[in-house]
Amino acid sequence: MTVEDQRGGVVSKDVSHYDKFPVGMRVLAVDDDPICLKLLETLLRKCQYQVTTANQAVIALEMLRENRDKFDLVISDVNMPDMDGFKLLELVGLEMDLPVIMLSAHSDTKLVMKGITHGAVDYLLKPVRIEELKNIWQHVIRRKKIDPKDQNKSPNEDKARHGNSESGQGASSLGNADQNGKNSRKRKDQNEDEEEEGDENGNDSEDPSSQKKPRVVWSVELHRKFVTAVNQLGLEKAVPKKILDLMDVEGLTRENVASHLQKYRLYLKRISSVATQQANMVAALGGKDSSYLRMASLDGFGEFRNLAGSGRLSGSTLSSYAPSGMFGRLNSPAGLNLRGITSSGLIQPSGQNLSSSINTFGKLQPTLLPSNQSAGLYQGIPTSLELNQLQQSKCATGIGDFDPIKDSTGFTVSGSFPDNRVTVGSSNSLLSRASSNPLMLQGNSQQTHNRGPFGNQSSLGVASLNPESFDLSIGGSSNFVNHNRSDESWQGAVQLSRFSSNALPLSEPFNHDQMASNNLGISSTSPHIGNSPIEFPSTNVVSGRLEDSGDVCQEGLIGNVVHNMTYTSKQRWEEYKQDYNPNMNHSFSDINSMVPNNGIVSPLGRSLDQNSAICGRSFDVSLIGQLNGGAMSNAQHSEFENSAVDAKIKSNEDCLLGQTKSQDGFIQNGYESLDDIMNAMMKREQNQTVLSDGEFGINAYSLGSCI
Amino acid sequence: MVGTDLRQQLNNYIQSMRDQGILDNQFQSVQALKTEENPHFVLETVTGFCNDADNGIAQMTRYLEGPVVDFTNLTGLSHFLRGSSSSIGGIRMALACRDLRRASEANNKQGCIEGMARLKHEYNSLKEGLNNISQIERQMIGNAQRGRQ
Repeated sequence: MTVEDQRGGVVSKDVSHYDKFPVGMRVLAVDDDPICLKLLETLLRKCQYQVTTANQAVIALEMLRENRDKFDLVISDVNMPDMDGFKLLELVGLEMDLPVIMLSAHSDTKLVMKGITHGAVDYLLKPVRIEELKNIWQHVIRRKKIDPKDQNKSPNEDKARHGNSESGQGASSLGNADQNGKNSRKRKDQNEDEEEEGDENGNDSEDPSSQKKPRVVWSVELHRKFVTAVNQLGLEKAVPKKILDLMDVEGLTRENVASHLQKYRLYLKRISSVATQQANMVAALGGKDSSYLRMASLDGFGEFRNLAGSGRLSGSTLSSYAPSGMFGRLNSPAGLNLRGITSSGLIQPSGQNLSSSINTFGKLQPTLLPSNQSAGLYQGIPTSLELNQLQQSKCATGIGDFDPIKDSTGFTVSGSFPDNRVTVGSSNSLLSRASSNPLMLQGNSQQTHNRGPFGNQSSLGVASLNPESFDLSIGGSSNFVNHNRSDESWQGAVQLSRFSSNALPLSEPFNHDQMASNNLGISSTSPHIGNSPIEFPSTNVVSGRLEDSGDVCQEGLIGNVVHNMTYTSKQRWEEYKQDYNPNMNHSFSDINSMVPNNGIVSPLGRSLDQNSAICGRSFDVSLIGQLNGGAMSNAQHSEFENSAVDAKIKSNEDCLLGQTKSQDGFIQNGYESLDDIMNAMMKREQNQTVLSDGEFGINAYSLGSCI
Repeated sequence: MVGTDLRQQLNNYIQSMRDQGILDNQFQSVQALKTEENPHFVLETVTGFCNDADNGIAQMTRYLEGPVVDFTNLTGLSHFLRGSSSSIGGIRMALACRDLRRASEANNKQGCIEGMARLKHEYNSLKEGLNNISQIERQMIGNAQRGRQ
């Protein structure tokens, strides 16, 4: 599967590739000036690197998306006619978590600053000298080796991979790495037991041992197969076992399929209700990013992982995402995953606050939670956000009132996730619901980007989950709010926009609004992101929020944030912050990563940054994974949080599976990735309780939704 | 030897250009990239550059002479040429581009006109120098090939 390829591919590739490192390092050079490009290429060849050139950013992106394991490093000009170099930088960082070096004839300090804040690992001036190029390989190594704890970016790659694997897919190594370092370990172990069994572990490929259980990453392809199988059997008759047989994918277990199916069902439910929205969204999203589209494959799942990025967890949104692609784009399909999960979970909340939260998270991550199931999950949870959402979800769960599924979209949060990707929009329902906003919020913020609808909504939308519920969640809302904060942070980091800008149709969002309140946070987050690099860093703040919210929800999001905070996240957040701003998306990655790994929190923080990247990627996975059950291990924090997050994050996949099972586990599982985040947040213990109640709601939700 | 003489001639020529400030060390780096497998590297690069520059300057002139000056594109293009020329070592031209860009960013039409004139001037001297270099290069390559044969 794609996932595998990515993950495993990377690893293996890297390994083999770096035998004589830096000789043979694969570089992608992008510059619209043919002379410069030619010179650059020749110079790089002289350094004994393997060079591929592209004279347009879009071409480069295509190459990268096609197989990101094919490259170790990207060098890109800043001024290009078809796309701004910084934008490319962000996208690459978010989606692929590759080190990017900026190149320009300008030596303006501001530009250099911008480059760094957007995540560039270096900034070179033209004309490029060979001496400088001789040293660029360091960035690749740094990225790989950096302690998962600290580095979001570079090291995360590897670590993230590992960590992500667990979280669900190593949320694009990005966030994971960081978090992975820490949390992932925990989660991984935990997760491993849980769902991950068959997963595609490609994710883990990087570091199987260190990673948690390999999470199945519901890549676009995989999801497509899944959908095909389901259609063949007929939705009514589709049972996991049969689907599994039809899909004929190695390493996929019945549980994986079951949880994914659950999410999917939720998602479908959601979309039927927001068909129009989705359609729009999809169009918007789908069109937007090919990635989304990719995600779309999920149906929302598109890429749960991506969703992760998309955080949009807005689980519901995820469904909504239908655009799947959208979710996918969430950068972290995770958004989808979570979404589904979260959504399910979250929305459920009624009591589930946790679930909600989780859902949120879950959603968040899943960003794409395509499957409605995730719906609970905030699909949106674009990476971390979702987590947040989850957290929020948690809160949301608190929202339990929500109407549990009021939104199913409650999770829509997912959409919110940063990056517009998250467009959690799908989550619209969810988002709204999910208001989970935390996640969504994230997305929302982002969403604004993307889809905007989601973006803001997402974030908030998610939060809005149920205003009432929100109370519960509001705690979570707080989350959301926190989210906002986080969002902001995230946004910055998470790039909620990045997420998937899927901008989940969240629009619904939060009508439930309870979350809305939260959402506020989130909505605001949208803008925030840029600004507050992460409020998270203050995760404390977030946490604090959470605390206030008491609801877990907050935790979800905040958890993430909190996690971040709690975890090293703080650091990360800080990091993220910085990153956030520029890379809100990235944050997501982090967040996502955080979430998945540590517990959500980390992911969040980190995820944000990384999440952006990861979010899309790992986040979903992680989150969902985490949420799902993976996290359970993380129960550490409020368990719930984690779970919620995890559960959610657990990427719907797990959710699906987990939901049933995980309800508790879900949450817990979810924690793993989200755990971290959640943990932080969850610490609240409340979560736990909440969790148990609702099992995050997600469970309930998901179940409910599914049902 | 013809080869040596030519090479010597080439070096001298390049040195004189550097003395004038038309070329800088970068050109040397470009030269260094020439390899056995690709002896035409410098030639190709120079040719490519001249083409781009010719087009670019013509285009910029159009932007400047239009009824309404298209500053945005002018800015972009001058930046583009700056990168190109600096990559090849045409430092003076690169500086001219930079100044032109500044004027363009400030929407300073008069400044642009002046900058443009200066750019053309620099480019011409650079181009001439590069053409001469190319010529010698071609000769060298031709000799080398003949020598091999």
